[in-house]
Amino acid sequence: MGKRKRQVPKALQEEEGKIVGMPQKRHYRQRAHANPFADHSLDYPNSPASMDWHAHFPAFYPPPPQSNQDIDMEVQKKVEFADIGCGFGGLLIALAPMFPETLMLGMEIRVSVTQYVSDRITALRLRCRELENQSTGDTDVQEEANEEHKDGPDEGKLTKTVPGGYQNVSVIRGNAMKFLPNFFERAQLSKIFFLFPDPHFKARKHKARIISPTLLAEYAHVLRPGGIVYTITDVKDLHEWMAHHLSAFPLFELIPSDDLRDDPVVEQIKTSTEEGKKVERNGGEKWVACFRRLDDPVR
Amino acid sequence: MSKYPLTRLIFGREASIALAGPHIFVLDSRTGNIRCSTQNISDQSQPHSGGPIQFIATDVDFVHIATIAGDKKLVVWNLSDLQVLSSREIPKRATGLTFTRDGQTIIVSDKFGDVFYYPLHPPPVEETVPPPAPPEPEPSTKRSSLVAHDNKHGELILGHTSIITTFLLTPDEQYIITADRDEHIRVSWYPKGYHIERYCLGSTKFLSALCIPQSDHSVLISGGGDPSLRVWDWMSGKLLGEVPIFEHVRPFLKVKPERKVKGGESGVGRKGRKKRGAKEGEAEKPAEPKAEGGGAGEGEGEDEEKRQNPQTEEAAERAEQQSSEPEDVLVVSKIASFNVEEEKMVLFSAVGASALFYFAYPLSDAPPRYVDFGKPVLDFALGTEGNSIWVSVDGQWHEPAAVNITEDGDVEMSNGPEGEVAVVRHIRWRDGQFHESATKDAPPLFTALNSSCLIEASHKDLAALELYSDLAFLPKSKREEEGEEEGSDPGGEDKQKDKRLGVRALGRQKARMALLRKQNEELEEGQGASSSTGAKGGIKKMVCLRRGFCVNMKGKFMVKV
Repeated sequence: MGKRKRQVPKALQEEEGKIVGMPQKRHYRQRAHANPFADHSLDYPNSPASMDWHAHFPAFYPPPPQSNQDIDMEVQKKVEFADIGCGFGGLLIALAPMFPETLMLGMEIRVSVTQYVSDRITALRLRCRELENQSTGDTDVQEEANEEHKDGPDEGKLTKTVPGGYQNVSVIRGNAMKFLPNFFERAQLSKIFFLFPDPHFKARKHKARIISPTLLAEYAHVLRPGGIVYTITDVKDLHEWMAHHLSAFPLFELIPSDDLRDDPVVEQIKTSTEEGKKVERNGGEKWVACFRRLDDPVR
Repeated sequence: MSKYPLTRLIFGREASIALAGPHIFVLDSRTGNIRCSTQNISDQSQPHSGGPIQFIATDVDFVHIATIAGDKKLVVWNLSDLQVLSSREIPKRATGLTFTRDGQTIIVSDKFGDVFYYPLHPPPVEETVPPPAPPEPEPSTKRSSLVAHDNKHGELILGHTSIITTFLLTPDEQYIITADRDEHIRVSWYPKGYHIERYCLGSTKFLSALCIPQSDHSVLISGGGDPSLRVWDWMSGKLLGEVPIFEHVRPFLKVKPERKVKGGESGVGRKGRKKRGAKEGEAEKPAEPKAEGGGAGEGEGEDEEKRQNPQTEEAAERAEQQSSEPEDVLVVSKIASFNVEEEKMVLFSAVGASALFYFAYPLSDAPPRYVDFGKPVLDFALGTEGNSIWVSVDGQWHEPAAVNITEDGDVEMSNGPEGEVAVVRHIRWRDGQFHESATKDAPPLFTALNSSCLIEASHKDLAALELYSDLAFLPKSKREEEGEEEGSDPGGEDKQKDKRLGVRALGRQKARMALLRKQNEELEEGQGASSSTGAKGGIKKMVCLRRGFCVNMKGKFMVKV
């Protein structure tokens, strides 16, 4: 918190004529804890099919109401990566250019944090368009780039567009513990991320942990066989808890760390989130555990 | 003096069971004689301490009875002599109870959203290894699986993150279908409940009743707060049809919840409000991280346990609250299929409604029909004759006009003469409709149920039954958007936040306005420019072609892999 305190925020300065700036995290800070069991006034679709995905991925879904073309659900692209509790969106923003053809969605229960990520994605998409539209690399671009942006050197100086133009990433405010099946169909996802989840240290709060024997059934349901659950935390107890429950769950098996070496995603989960960077700064340790979704049981 | 209504009736060829408050009656189905009842047992020997029995179930062969009461004990009895065979503690208040077909396993759902199974008889004491001493954040992973879903006696089948309001096993017992307050119907394997087969999604309100009709085991009928019942192919999750019922039930709703408008969120002391008349909004309060007493997960239903006599509580707190009009709330309480002669139909009842409703299944266009009993229906059950239904009504309920306030300020219900209205009714299907049986036409059980099973109960006892609490408890209210204060904050942070609020909100707003402006500019440009090729311009409409190809900003095709 202390690091972010500033005097008269630059946001209050005039922005006219400047290139659109990235949203600043300090305007969106919210307390880390929100009770997932309470009835927030959340919007969630009745079912995955009734969700307006066009609002999130206009480049991939036709606008409703569907025109003469029905969406052929067999080939319609759907979200494949889900970042549960995506926080400020660091992972998704890093992954989006790596997998430009893959739709990815962050779910976050906190209002303003979701708003931050949403604004950030909007800004990035616009930025990419602007960059594409500029035929030559103007020097203007470089100057204005570092202006408003304090949150990460990379995108502030976004000097060229990235593959996919961030059209494949979006965020939604939602309660993943309660309503995951409302957003994703059976076996839809290929990756689920649980990065630095709330440890809920007290024993009586353990049931609020995002990994539990009961919730694992839901994660297994939306994740396709062969899909991967990625977990990382700096709390050893939580790491052991998650590893234990996932290992004990009949539909998941641990991926040995050797096998993870080839996965470019693993590096991102360690470094690209705000939480991850915080742990680095404080010299903490990070524990990674990844699990593969096994095939469905047969009778 | 008031009497306990019979909250549950179960009929078998030889024996029938009636539940009256804390007492069980086992009657001979032919003669109506009481074979045994818990009334005869001394108070000390009662396995359930005080309070009414909330759930009762029997196995298919009427050998054992299982009961659960507010004391969170699962008690197994011998049906023939009501001898108590075992008593086990369950971790949370139960919301459903059933035997498996072989009678060897008991399944219990609870308010936390878990479903456990228990062997019929607990294993002998020597064999049980007591779980290691209680928990604290010691990083021992061996026990950690116990900590979240702790249960000494039962095994976890599955869990929802919401109160499971009802569940059933499919007839072949290969699947278990569970439904919750958050509109989910989930079909999971049984006993490997960790494998979800399907969700049946589409309900817009809580679920409270499920039924698989006898004539078609691939179909599931669900009901709850939605104005229609839904019919599903549960294996595929596909919705097959709907049956609008609300307008048909509405005229018979005798009991309505009084929903209070909540006062301001932050100002009123949250900790102070512990005991309330049934109101699900309150149930959220202790769920806020601030409260020490209840953990987060318990918040949803915890308050129910603390709820006292709604009448006096409500009266007392009415002054503080702005009370709103009583509204009609639909809570489907039970759905059952009934095949008789050539007819196949589905019966259902609703909490607080005085009629039993039925409609033809397979579905036709005809609206549901009804049999009105004048007083709220509490339970109904198929009789063993094959063409009859037994219905239990709330004999203590009276038209509001009959309530007097005496000089002392006591609320007094004016009762009609005792024998006037039978609390258990009997209807037979004949010639295309139901006919209510008069005493002389009814089986001997009829008289027995209406006379010998009536136990005295005080007002407090009756209130403890919480017969209509679901009307207020199950519906969810949309709380107003709390803005940034979601999930509550301790006081200290509030002040800090308030100061910075202005700055932050302003900052966000500015950024967003700039973005929007930018977006609009581009949109306008894009519309002005020529459409097809990738000329310099703003946002091109993204066209999603049939095969999933995509056109990007420059008009280049991006091939879907």
